[in-house]
Amino acid sequence: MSGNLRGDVAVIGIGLSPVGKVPGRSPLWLAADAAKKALADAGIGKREIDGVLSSHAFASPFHRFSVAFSEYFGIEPTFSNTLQVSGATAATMFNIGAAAIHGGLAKVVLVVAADSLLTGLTPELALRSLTESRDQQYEMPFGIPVANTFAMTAHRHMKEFGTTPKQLAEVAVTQRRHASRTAGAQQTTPITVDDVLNSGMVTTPYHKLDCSLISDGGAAFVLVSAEHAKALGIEAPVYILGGGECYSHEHIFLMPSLTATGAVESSRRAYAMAGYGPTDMDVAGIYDCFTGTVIMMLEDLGFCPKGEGGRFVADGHMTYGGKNTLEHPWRAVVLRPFRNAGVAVSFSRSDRAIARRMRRAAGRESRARAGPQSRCRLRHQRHHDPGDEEYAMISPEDAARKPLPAPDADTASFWRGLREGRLLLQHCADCGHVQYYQQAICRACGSESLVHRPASGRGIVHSFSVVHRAPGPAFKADVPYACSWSNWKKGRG
Amino acid sequence: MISTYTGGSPDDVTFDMKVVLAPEKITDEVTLPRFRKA
Repeated sequence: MSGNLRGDVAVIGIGLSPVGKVPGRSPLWLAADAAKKALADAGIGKREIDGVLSSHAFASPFHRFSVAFSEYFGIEPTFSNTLQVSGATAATMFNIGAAAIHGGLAKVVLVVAADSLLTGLTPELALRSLTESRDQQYEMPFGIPVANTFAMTAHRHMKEFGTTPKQLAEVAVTQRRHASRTAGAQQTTPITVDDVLNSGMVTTPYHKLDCSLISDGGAAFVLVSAEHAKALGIEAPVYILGGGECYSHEHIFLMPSLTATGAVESSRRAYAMAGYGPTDMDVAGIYDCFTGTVIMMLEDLGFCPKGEGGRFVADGHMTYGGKNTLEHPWRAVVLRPFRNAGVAVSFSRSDRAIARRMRRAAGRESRARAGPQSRCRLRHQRHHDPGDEEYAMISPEDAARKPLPAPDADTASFWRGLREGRLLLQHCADCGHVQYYQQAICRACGSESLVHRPASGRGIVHSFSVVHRAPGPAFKADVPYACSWSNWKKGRG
Repeated sequence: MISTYTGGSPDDVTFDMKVVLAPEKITDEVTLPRFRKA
């Protein structure tokens, strides 16, 4: 066994369920449909699968979706896991699946993901679900939609590099054009830059058409070793040559730079493993949850210099026949074939952990506000047509309540300080590191010798976004409101 | 940190704007750290 995955594992089959609006179909059905197609594409039977990897599903929040799927599909894998790293989940499953085969944990790995966010959840609950993925203490109480955090990165990119709303819109226009060439895509009607700019503001600078759709759908692929692919007589296996990951932060306010992503490091690793670089690429599939993310990823993946992503897109280099700035002819930069179906295609928002958190948070809120009787509302509630198997994770009543922080041992001092009108930061007595948010150990040195000291109470707005579409019913009465990413000065003064 | 603006129109917020803490009491237990223009 070598220390490098390059070329050791191949994709031998892919499958895609119907995507878009697929009413009456559970995530398990969607996953099974995609899996059947992937197996048929590979020319193998389900009994040959000994490994299953899946993402989570919001609308079917099984603790172990991969196991639930296996049961539904009628297989008993000896390697299984349910992964969740948000928008990186799909790519990560390539890595984990390849590593499992490389390490002898499995011979045939089925990677599958599905969800029914569009018809399995009400729009309010889907939005609330995404918002609940934010930190309960430091983000959720402010009504910060997921789109808002991405919007603040795009806004800062506009400030630093002169990126324009029209350039952002060009991403959506290009992707829609690509989608129109793809059978089964959720949205295929051509759009213009003006269509995007007039589609209604969601959270500045993002308009509706700058944002991913909420979709139903499932996708699957089959991984085997290169030797196995050869033994099966697969004519054109797709070998995995390189993969890389990087996780720099969870909270946006701890993002090292608002205008750079972990793709700088993950792509460096993937390129190094593969022995290729950005100028060798003919086709790229780039995470497109929001248009500004695409522009930053184009830069961070090395397709154009930092800060030039907007111009790169506007000049037509992100499509068939375009060129990158190093004069390499593109055959195509194909973003997600289902424009704006980022959730459906990547299934990145499917998250059992989020579901648990939602119920936990909802439980705390309900108990705090209405006493133990309110717990009954936390049951999963059917809210669609009779026969629909989808369930919401919190009740509409709970979704209408603003989430409040629930101070714990880590954060009690912080919230007590605010009641006294002071913004407290943690100072490490051992290394001097100053940190926000509050926790039990110093993030720099691991020391537990932390003291709380008041910040000056003065700050500078580093980026901001005005929310025009609330993340659920709880914040509807507040829009428009401005969220900001601010730097706060230490100490007094 | 991330927070929300109070004390004016959201359109007042600009890059590099100087702001100050504006604690907002929500319940007896919870006061949120919002901000306003300095």
